[in-house]
Amino acid sequence: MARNEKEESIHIGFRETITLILPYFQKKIWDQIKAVIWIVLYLALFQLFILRIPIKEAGLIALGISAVVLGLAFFLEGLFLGLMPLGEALGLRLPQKLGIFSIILFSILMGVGATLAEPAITILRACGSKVAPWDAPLLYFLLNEGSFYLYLSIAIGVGISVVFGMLRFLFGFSLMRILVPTIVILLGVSIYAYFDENLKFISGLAWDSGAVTTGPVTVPLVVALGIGISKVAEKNDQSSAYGVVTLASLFPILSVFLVGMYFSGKLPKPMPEEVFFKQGIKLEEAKLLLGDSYKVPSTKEVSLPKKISPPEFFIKAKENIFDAFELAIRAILPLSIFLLLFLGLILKEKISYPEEVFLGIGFSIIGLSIFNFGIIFGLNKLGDQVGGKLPSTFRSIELIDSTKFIPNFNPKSVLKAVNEDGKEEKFFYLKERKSYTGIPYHEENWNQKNKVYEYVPIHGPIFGKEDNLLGYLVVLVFAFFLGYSATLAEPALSALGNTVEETTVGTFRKSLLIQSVAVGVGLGTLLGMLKILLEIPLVWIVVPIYLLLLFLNTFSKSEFIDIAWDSAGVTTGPITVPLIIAMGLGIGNQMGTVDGFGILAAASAFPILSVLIMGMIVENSRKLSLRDSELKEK
Amino acid sequence: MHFKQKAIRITAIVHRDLTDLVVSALKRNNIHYFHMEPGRYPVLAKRGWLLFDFYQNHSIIDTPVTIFEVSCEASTENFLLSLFRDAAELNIPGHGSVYSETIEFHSPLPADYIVTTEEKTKTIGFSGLTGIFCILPRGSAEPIARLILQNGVAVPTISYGTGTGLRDQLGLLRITIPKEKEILKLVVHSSDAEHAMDFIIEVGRLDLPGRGFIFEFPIGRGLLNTKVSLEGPKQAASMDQIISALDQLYGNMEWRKKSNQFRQSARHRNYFEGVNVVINCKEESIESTLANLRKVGVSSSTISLNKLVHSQNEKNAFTPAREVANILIPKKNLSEVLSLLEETGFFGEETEGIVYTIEIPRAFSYQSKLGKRK
Repeated sequence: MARNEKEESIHIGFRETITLILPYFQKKIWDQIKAVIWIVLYLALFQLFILRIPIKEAGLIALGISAVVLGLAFFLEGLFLGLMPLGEALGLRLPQKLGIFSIILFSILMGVGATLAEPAITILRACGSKVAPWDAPLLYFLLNEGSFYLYLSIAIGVGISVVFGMLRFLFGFSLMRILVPTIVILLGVSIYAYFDENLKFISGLAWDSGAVTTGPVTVPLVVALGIGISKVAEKNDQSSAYGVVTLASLFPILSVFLVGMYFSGKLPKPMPEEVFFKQGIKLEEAKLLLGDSYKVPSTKEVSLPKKISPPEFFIKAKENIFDAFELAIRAILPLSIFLLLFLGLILKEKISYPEEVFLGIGFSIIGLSIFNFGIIFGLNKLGDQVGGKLPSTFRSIELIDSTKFIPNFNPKSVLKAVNEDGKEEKFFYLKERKSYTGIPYHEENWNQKNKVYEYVPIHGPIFGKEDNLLGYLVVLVFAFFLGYSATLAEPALSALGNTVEETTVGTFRKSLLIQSVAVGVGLGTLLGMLKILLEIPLVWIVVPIYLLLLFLNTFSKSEFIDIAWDSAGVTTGPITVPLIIAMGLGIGNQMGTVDGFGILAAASAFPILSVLIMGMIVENSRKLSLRDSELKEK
Repeated sequence: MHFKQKAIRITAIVHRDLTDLVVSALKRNNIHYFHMEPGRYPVLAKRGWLLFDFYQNHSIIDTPVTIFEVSCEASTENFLLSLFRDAAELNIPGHGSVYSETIEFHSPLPADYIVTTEEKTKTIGFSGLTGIFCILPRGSAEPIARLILQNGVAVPTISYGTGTGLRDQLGLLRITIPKEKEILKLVVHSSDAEHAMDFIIEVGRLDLPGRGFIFEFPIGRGLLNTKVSLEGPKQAASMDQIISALDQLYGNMEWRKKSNQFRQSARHRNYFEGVNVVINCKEESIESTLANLRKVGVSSSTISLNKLVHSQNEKNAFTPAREVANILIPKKNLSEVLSLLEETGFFGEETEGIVYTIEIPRAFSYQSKLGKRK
């Protein structure tokens, strides 16, 4: 700082470069390992020691998980180098150079663009195939034929919320002024929907899509934009850059409901399957519901996993890598180009370190590709394996993925046995390696043509009899820790945590935020699970919890309110969502519920609660630093 | 010939909950321009419950503060000091501190930027204080702050900043060196200053390259925060109250000096002197300014963000989002730096720059062999 040497260009040799780069990467990757390790260990140990089923394709999953770690490290670094500085620069310049109308236009465009890029939304669609069109026509429509309307409504919801957020920064009014009416309307609509036959089934989807929208691309960008704007805003005395994220996860709920209401009249009401196929629906309704090619969808077919030969496997892997890369490009590139063009052409500003921003964008794309790949091959596989088998704690389930085909089966080897009630049962012995195991014989699994007997092993119930209480409890505890440990790895939360720590100058630590959010998500997941197990309507969960939150808000400081509500939107991202949905679908299928939605909604309401409560505790100690001696004097 | 004007800079560090009170008091008194910056001050936490005590050997609780800066004429110093004291009730431990320094402006300023008033107020605060300004890598301030608090030296203030220096000459490789810094400021009795500095250098390993930078700055008058711990009062009056009562009784802080308790450092340190150039400009324009300054050999600096608030809403001469850079240079280079700033249009509308200097009697940082020869 003090020396007065003339500028020298520093020459860095290859070895020095390595000594600079290695510790840098080491640190970044180590941080991500620390974040991801808990969820991985948890899932693996749970499957091995509680469910007692060996992990399939362990090598591939291990590779996938390393990809998650590497991808996260790159992606987050890219975010901090590229997208966030861009967002903040834009936020600083917008109010200085443009009028309010242009800011609104820009905010809508950015909100819509960022949402359409968000990778987590596509996961919602994946659940669509599990819904039958006759059980819930509206839900089926929105997830399949009408998914475009669903995406668009979500994106517009986010766009509008960005507008409101930016207006809030410019004019400096408190978050509560938007939050309270929005939530009151939302709760009202949810209650209305609860009494409507068709809308009832989409309320889970609506609340979940709110939770899903705000992911690792939208959140950092929107927060950075907000920081920029709130810095230059004259009327904003207590500069707080938060609150947009929570709006961005509330408004889409409303817009999905609105779209649902629009289509509700055009679609048939839920009906039994037979009615649906006979005379149930009109032609135009069917066209809308099932698309142009409207043919009756075949009922659920179970495809048996075939042995994949190595070349096929490589082709599949190549396709997956390509998909992951394409997904990443689509998420980052159009958005960055839009931001760069806007900054360059409309605002006519230069970026201070262009090469750093470009490197950051490159890093984000590389990171997101590796991350996507890792999610497909690592976490999703592991999550599906555990999630699908989770019901075995209280029920016996068929392990379809470990079906055995016994060739040259001879029915003569079938023996008879007597069960407790005195009835006859058939079984045969199978020699596996060195031991003989008795296997129940079912006639329908015996294929006489090719002489193959198909044996689907049955697992569980692990804890006592069918539907035992302990088994349910294990599921609930599992849900809590799944939510907790998955949240620790969530990239958007990590980015928000960094921003919070930076803007509060370290008075609000990242680790504190992440821990309290994680506990909240855990509780929410637990409750969401309970909802599916006991078939509680979502309204019964959402209404009381949000009313409680509004009540708590009145006791908290605006600083904590903003951060608490924002962290709710952030929690459910690309790591949590697939895992929780896999678990929800696994349990939902066993329980025969129509939709497995609603867990995410619960999982994103509870972090608000936990962060608010944590804020109150922190606030209390801060007050103590101000007050105790005063009290003494009085 | 450069523009030159001597003035007083008042710095007030106020508990966040009192910020609104102070802002409204400033506006009420027609103080049109003041800078605000968030920061925190660490306090030793209360003893834990029951067994938890074993684990947390006096952990730190961070209290958010707002750091105010106002410039005024010498005659207004006392008025502003008492204004801050009354607005935030700074005589109560835990509320905050206020102190004044002499600075010299080198840039044209809008009217009202330097506050002046006719009102005469009697002098308040203690003299004989010295401030210490220390730049450390992120995360290093806390252990130092803890030791400072435990020894009862002072209550430090920590704020965030970014550093430029060696990094910027590396090209893209710069991303491998974290630029995030923590700025630790504390005010101690002048006779303790050297020892406190020595102590921080030792603990923070500032004698190693790339670790940070420290300097002391003279302070006119000050009223300091005495709240070191959240520990509830065990006696009728808390320790903090006793300290502040004694301060008032003696009318100074002489009795609090700690110098005889410090371990005398055997090592001889190469201190140097210079001027601290404070550059304040529109956010996002400091980078280019500093890049220009590198031509005259100013290689490193610390940047922090602050907000410039004005109470009148129309006719604002400045954008509120600001960046501040602290640069320490040898005194002989000052004119060179200033004329370069003027040449590059730093004071123009594009960057809205403000520049002032503070004389630094003693500074320390790791010096390369090259630096020592000079």
